[in-house]
Parts: sequence; C-alpha cells; structure tokens
Amino acid sequence: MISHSSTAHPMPNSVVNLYVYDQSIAGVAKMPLDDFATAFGVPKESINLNSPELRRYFLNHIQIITEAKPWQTHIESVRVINSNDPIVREYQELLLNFICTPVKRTSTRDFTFKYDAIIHQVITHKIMVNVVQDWQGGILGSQVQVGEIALNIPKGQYFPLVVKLQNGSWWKGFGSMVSLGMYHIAEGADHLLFLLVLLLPCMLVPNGQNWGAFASASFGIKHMVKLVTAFTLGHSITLFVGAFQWIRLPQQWVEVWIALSIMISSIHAYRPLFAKKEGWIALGFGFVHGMAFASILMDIRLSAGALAWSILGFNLGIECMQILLLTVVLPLILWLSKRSEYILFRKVVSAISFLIACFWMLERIFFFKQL
Amino acid sequence: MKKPLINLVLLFIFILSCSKSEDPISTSGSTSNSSSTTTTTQVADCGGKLGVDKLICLCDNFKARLSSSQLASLQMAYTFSNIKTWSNLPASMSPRIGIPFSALNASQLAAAKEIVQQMSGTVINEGYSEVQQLWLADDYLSANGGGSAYGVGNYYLAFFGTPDSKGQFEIMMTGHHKTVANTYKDGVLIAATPHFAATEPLSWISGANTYGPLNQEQAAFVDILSNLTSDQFTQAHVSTTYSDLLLGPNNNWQFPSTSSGLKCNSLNATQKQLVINALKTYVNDIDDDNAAKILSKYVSQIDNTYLLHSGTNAMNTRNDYFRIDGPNVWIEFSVQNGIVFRNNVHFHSVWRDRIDDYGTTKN
Repeated sequence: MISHSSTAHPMPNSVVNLYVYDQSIAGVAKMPLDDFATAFGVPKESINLNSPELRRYFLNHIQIITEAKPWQTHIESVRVINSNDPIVREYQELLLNFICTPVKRTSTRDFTFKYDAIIHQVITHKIMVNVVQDWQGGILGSQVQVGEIALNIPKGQYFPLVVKLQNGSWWKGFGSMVSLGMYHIAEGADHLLFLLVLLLPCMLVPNGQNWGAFASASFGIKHMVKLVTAFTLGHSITLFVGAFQWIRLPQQWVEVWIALSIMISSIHAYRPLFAKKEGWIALGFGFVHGMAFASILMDIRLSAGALAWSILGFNLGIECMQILLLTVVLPLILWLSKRSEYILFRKVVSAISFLIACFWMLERIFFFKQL
Repeated sequence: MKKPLINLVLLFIFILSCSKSEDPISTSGSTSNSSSTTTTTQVADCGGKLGVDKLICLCDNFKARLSSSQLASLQMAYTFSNIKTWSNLPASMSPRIGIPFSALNASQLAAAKEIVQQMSGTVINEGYSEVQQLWLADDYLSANGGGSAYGVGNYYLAFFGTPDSKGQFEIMMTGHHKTVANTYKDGVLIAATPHFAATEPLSWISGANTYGPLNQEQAAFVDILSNLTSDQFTQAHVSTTYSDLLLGPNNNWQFPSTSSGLKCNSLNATQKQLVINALKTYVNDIDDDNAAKILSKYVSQIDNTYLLHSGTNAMNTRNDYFRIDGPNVWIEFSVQNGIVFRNNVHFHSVWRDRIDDYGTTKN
C-alpha cells in the first residue's frame, strides 16, 4: 500500500516499483496520465502508446548508472489503466514496464537511479521509488520505499536517487523463499481444501459404491503418508519443471484445474470414485498444484543457481505448512473416523467443499485476474 | 484470485456503513452534550475592547462556554508539531487538531465565529467575508456530491498556547479550503501566516447571491499579467509547469534560496500598484490595522520582490501558476483540476512570510 501520509498533495504522484535481479533491474512505473501528457507535450487523447517518440521519451528519462557508466534501458510495455486515489478518486494512469541491464556485468545493489519522467517539466511532481523484489535482500512481495525524487525547493533542483541496498546473501533469499512457500499455503485456501478433502476418507475401507468402516489406525496413517508423499512428489516435479520454464501452461487453466481437482476429490470423499488408486490421483493433482506454485517463482526472474536454491526453499516452506496441517488434521480424522457421526460429517464437508470448488471454478473461468 | 468476492463483500459493508453515517451538513443547531456540563464562569462584555484585547476577551468568553472536555480539545500546547497541522485537504483526509465546529452548539459556534471575525479583515470579499464564503463553498461541495467529508462542521478552531496579553500564542481556524493562523506575542500580532485559501467551486449561486471567494485574487494576477510589456512578461514567465503550490502544507521553511522571475524594480508606478492590489487580496484577510502594517512593509520591499508565472495569462486553466516572492512576502496561486466537480478547475493559494512565518517558530 502506498501511504499518502501527510503529503497533502492533491494530485497523484508517480510510483516506481523496482525488481532487483542478479543481473538486471526491472521497474514498473505508474504515473498520472494528465501529468504525463503535460510533460510529453501531447494532449492525452492523442497519445499513441506505441509510438517511437513515446519510447524515446522514456529512454531519455529513465537510466540506471553504476560507476559513471549508464546501463541500457529497454521499454517492455506501455499501457493505460484506471486507478483510484482517496483524494482525486478515479483517474487514468500510464503504466510502464522497463528493464535496465548493465553493459558489463556489475553489482545490482549500489546504483544511481536517474529517473525524471514528468518532473523534468512538471516541477511539482514527485516520484516515489520502492523496491518490491530483492531476492538477496529478502524482499519478496512487500514494498520497501528507498526514496523519493522530488524538487529540492531551496536549491530549485531535483537530484537522481542514490540507492544502496543492504548487503544481500543467498541465505536471506533462501529464508524469504521458505516463508513465501509457507505463506502461500497458509493463504492459499484452495491448496488447503484440496489436502483436506483428499485426506477425509483415508482412514476408511471402500465398500462398493460407499465408504465403509474405519480400517485401522496403522492402515490410515500409512495411507495418509502415502497420499501426502504422492502429492508432494507431484507438485515438486512440476514446481521444478515449471519454474525453469521448461513447460509453460496458461495460469488461468492451471487455476481452473486446481478447482476441478477439489471438485473431484470432494466427490471421492463423498463416495469412492477411484478407490485404491488415490496415490496416482494425488500424484496427478500434485502436478497441477505444482504448476501453480511455479508461476509464482517464474515471476521472480532469478538466475539458474538462485532459482534452484529458491525452489528448494519455497518447497521446504510448502512442506512445513503441509506437515503443520497434518499434525492438526491427522489426529482429528483419526478420532472422528471411528465414530458413527463421521458419515454425516464427511458428507457435509465434502458437499461444502464441492460447492466452494464450483464457485472457484466459475470465478476462475469468468473473472480471472492475471497476477 | 478471490479478489472479486472480497471486493463484493467490502462494497456491501461500505454501502451499509455509508448509509448509517449521513452527517448533518449544517452545524448550526447541531446537537451537543455540552450544555449539561457548561462551566459557570462569567461571560464578560468585550464590546468596549479593541484589537488583540478584544480578541483575548472573546477567546476567554468562548472558553467559558465550553465543557471541560471541549476545552481540552481546543486548548493545545504551542509546539511546532501542533501549529503545522493545517492542510489543503478535508479534515477526514488530513486530520486537524482543535475543536470541530460540528461539536459546538449554536451559541458556542457563534462565539467561535466571533473569534475568527476578530482575527480577520472587514474588506468585502476578503477577510471574514472570504472566510464565510469558503465555509459556504464547503457546504456547497457537501450538498453537491462531496458528502459528509466536506462542510463547515469539519472546520476546526484551536488555541496553541493560552490567549493572553503576555506571552506567545497562535489561533488557528483550519478546514478543507481555508486556514487562518495568526500568531500573537505580548498582545501584538507577529505573524499572519501561513495562510491558506482555496475554492471549489470557483463560483456558485445561492439564493439571491453569487459567490466567487477567490475571484479578486485571480483578477488581480490577470491584471498584472495583462499590463506587463512583452520583455517583462518574458522575464516573469517560465515554461516549467507548476501543477501545485510549492510551499503548501508540510513544506515549511523551504523557501527557494534565490528568487526568480521578474524583479519589480523594473515596473512603472501603475504596474507596481497592480502588484500592491494583488498583495491586498491576501493582506486584507487579516484585521484592518494589522493588514495596513503588513502591507506597508511589503510595499516598502516591492523593488526587491519578484513575479513568476507559468501557464496561460487568464489564470483559469489547469497548471496556471502565479507567484509573488519578496524579502518577506511569499504568495502562490495555482489552478488545479476539480475534485468534486471533475470537469472544472479549482484554485489553491498560500500566503507565507519568508521571515515571519509561524511567528518565526521553526521547530
């Protein structure tokens, strides 16, 4: 969240979010279209987002410099979005994706950010600069403000922003990936629900069209471990394959498949669909869930070594949360499965899960939002 | 992924909460629990007093009408962190300190307004007349789409330090588009700045009256601009865009170390008079005696005062900007996009003093 704090500026400012990678720095710049039009010198209705002039404008006003050597800036995409601000309410913003790469390999942790889009003309404009990803610095997904480019009023000038990121390390990166993995499972209700319905009938013996009686504690626990291991194996494989982008599936369909996996598992928990083949099913659905995990890591754009390290950390985080879930769910299911009320409980839970999964399915088909 | 659902739920909650909180727009006669706890202090007759003596008397009377909890909100310590709390945003977006008008009953409100009147000048469309019009402007915003964040009930009165004929204190009346902040020391006004005035809408009709609280300010700048020679205009005009005031709220003691623009020593007497006319539209916001003193100081420095302009000469288009920058005086006027009336512009303006701002208190 961007705090408006007490700046009391009635006009929205620019925000630049930086992604610090091993060998490059990418940025997403958001700026009010009105002010951009003023600075660009073209009425906002006549701005052509694909014009070479517009690209040249940004190439002239966005630069990263280390040791007096400018990096190369590349404009990846430009579009206009509708935004909302508590003060001016709805307004249009220009959203720019760029990436800066040093000509010769150099550290990406100490640099001068020479950004003066808009402010070169609109002197009252301000640019807030955040780092939203710095794997080595342990910043992932959060927003750390590193400074502001604004007019120094007494001096009558604005200055480039000198950024010195604290020393990073692979351990910090690894640690942040573990917590990202844990966070992802804890936040990802769909993964939790899938595991829950998968484990719901695992203590029971299938009896034709219905679930039968409680088997035994040792059978149940072994079964549960088998299912969880198969699921873990499945998602670990596709997490690895997906994160390295050896296979790339549309994110929307992966999400739809996850909803489907919960629907099918819910039916199975209600009455056996694939009795005795649960291991294979868990493995198969593990593949699907792993693709979803991978899409998170793909966005982080790490070098191969850091990526492998990250996959390990991320997966470890996921497993930690799974084990935590098991320690709660296992004794509960073990205890409940023996009771006669369990039939009703299992049916109600699986019916509710089915409905939730249906809802997700529809939502992901019709209201899918690319992250 | 689950955003649409969450948004729906939030929207629902928002609609519910909004429908519950329709505040009354007008504060006159607003309910207050103060009558039951009003102190028994005698209310003095201030009629025979003048100037700051009368102001202090009115302050004492106002305090006598307040409950102890109201008094605690009103009477604050004189610290820089307290006196800099004015803003150009509605109080709901940039919280003020002091007592809100909405928390006063009719007689308390009348007493509060009397204080503001005593601090202000009597020139029509300036001074207290301008203050009243800007209160009305906020009521107009509230009634025409702005909602409960706007309106005179969201203006605040605060005493920083105890109003007394000895020692230093500031009285601040602050709300969305007007801040009056006068500092007094040992019974004398030592600063009338920072002073903020803005208006949305620019003008409106209410009953038989047409209001345009900052039209004189705008017209005064247009007058200056249209009477400059092309050489003078070239010196005053910059191509840089100013979308806002440089020294709005929070930008305290940030005056540029060098002044820029057209130096007024090159103006002829008629042109200088137009600059003085513009100064008057700010200085006359303060009580007449002090306005005259401040004006004569600013006039004596006019040859060392600079004019800076950006945008169009009509001062009615977004990003139009005018500045008067002297050894003491600092006035900025900025034309910005409308907030409630999106297709119109609105004015923001600040008057500061390079030396005497906040009575020279800096931290």
